[in-house]
Amino acid sequence: MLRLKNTAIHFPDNSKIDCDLTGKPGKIFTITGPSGVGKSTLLLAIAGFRGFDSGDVLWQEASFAHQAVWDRPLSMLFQSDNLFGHLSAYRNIALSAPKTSKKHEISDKIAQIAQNLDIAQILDKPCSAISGGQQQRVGLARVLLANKPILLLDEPFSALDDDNRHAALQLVKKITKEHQLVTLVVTHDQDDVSALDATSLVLGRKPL
Amino acid sequence: MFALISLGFLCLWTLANTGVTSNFFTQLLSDSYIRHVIFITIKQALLSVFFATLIGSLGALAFHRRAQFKGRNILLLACFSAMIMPSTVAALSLLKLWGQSGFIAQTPLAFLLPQKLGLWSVILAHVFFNAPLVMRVCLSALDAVSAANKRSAALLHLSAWQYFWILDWPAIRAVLPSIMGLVFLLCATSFSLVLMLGGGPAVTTLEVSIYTSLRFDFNLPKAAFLSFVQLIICLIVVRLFGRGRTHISALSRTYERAIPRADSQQSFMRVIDTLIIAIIVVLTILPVILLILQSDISAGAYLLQEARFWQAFSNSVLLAIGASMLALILAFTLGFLAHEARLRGKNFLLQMIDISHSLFLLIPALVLGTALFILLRPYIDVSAYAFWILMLGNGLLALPFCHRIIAPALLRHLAETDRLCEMLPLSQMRRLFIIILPSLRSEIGFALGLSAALSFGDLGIITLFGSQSFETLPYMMFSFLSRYGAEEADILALILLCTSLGLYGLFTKLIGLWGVRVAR
Repeated sequence: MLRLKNTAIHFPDNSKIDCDLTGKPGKIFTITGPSGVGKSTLLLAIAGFRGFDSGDVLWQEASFAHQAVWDRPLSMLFQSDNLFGHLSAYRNIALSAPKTSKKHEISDKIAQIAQNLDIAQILDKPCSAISGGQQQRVGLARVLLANKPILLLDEPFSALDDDNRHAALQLVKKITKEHQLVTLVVTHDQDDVSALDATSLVLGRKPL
Repeated sequence: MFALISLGFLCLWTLANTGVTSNFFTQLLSDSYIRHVIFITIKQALLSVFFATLIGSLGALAFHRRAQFKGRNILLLACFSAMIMPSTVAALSLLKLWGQSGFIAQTPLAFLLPQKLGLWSVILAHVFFNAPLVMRVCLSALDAVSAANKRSAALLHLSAWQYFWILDWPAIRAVLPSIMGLVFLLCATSFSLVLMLGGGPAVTTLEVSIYTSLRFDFNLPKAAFLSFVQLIICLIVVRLFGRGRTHISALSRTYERAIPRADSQQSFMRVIDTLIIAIIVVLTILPVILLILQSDISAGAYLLQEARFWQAFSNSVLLAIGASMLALILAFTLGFLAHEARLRGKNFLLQMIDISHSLFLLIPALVLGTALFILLRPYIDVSAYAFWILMLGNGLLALPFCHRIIAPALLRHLAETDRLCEMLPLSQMRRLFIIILPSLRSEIGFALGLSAALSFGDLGIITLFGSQSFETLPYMMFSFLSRYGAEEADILALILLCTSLGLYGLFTKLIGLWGVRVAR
């Protein structure tokens, strides 16, 4: 279970955002609010790229607020540049395999994930040569191979057209259920909240 | 643009056209001494490129990994100040460290020094100047990797090797060919360093031979021939290293909030990075510290009371200001022209613009100076106009650097604002002063500061025009060094160093303040 316990982030203009959240596996939360309120900052703080000014962040009741980014029990996808363009889709996915995994185990797992996400035919292509929708599915494949229980999505589908965007949201919904992830999605679009069947968390600035 | 290209080639033609016999060039080519000079020029330039690129790129990687190291910004600033240091000062600083009676010679490490530094002193000097340039360009490239890519790498817990191959190497590889080409040109055409440190015929390069031909033999066709050879070598290198452009960005643009890297936490990488940073400090910062600490200012202080010193000082400052303004105006003119050529899809014109500013990186300063002298002599009293000729020469020599700073930012800005400005009732002049110049204030400040510092410390064309009646500070310092006036050279070096840094700082700050005022 993911818990954000009395967390707060302070901003230079003497304002702050507060967040309390308890997320069970298989649950999706959308984080909404006005532009510039600090939605992405909240995800970056959970991921460890910046600190919380107060409060704690826990997984299965153990705090990970002081762990290094790479040791936290989470994966994250950004709006763009999630993949290394000059590497093939296969190599991009394989980067998230645990260091102790054997080569044939990795390739079997990738083949299985690729089949499920319908990207088997583009595994050998460099990521700079595939479409935006395919790139996001490769990103999700990497998340699945990493097998970490929390998934943070910082508007990763905002650049996609409506059809691809809808398909990607359904995919997120499906993998969250199947893999029992706790998923936090930053979005501007209220339609995403209903499409994901998610609990909405509306952020707002408060004075310090 | 055509005037610039014509001027460049006219300079070479003027020299070549001063009494050449039919078999003159064949004789020169069969001269074993000239073949030796060509060999030394290429050898020292290639070795300099190798070491400067190796140390500069390793330094960029180390400083990039150590983004949270507290002394990082001060060390980077100190390293980058080498780029704007007068070559005469650099040469003196290097002698304080590596010279026969320098710092290392007085330590137990003296056995590491070769009997005669010769070629190595020139290479050390080229590394001193160019490793920070390579470092700056590579660091900008590493900083420009997208934050999402860097964050993904951190989340994926990449190993040091994976970081290098997946993130760092592609970024550095993209800029290496062009920066290596630029460093080769700078090393092949460097003159004052080889003159001061080369130490005799064994390390004579084409540029020094051109100087000897002009100043002592007054053999103008030979100088023109050697210039052509140098031009051909440089063009081949430019061709070999590809058509990439080295863009030198303003310092303020090269930093961003640090994103943690897993490899920087490893003890092995800590040791490697400390070692690399220590080598960079020894090669680029320690010589300057020694110059400051070991200079005997009191012995040469009498110079400050002499009118000759103040005349040379004011000549240098005025030259620096005039030359940097000229370089800036030319860089903007070429930038606007390139924008028009791009809009109209005229690729030939774009290539001509490239040639017109790069040409002055290839044509030796001395050839430019002498040719200007010969070209203008029938029409004006050249000695009376030495200041203006020098200003024109130094401005043209600063143009390649100025252009590399201004053009990319100007072209990007014009592409972004063209449509918007067309819809507003703005005249071209108002657009220039209200929109364009304030938007590019950091690039303008950096370009002016760099050009002013380069011109202030230049010891190129002045070696031909300098005399007791017309001196600049670098020329005065060179004169003292030639007469074993070490105390006077010490104090002049310190003044040159402080004034160069001051001019650079003044321009970058002043332009920044002006931009803020216009914006209000």
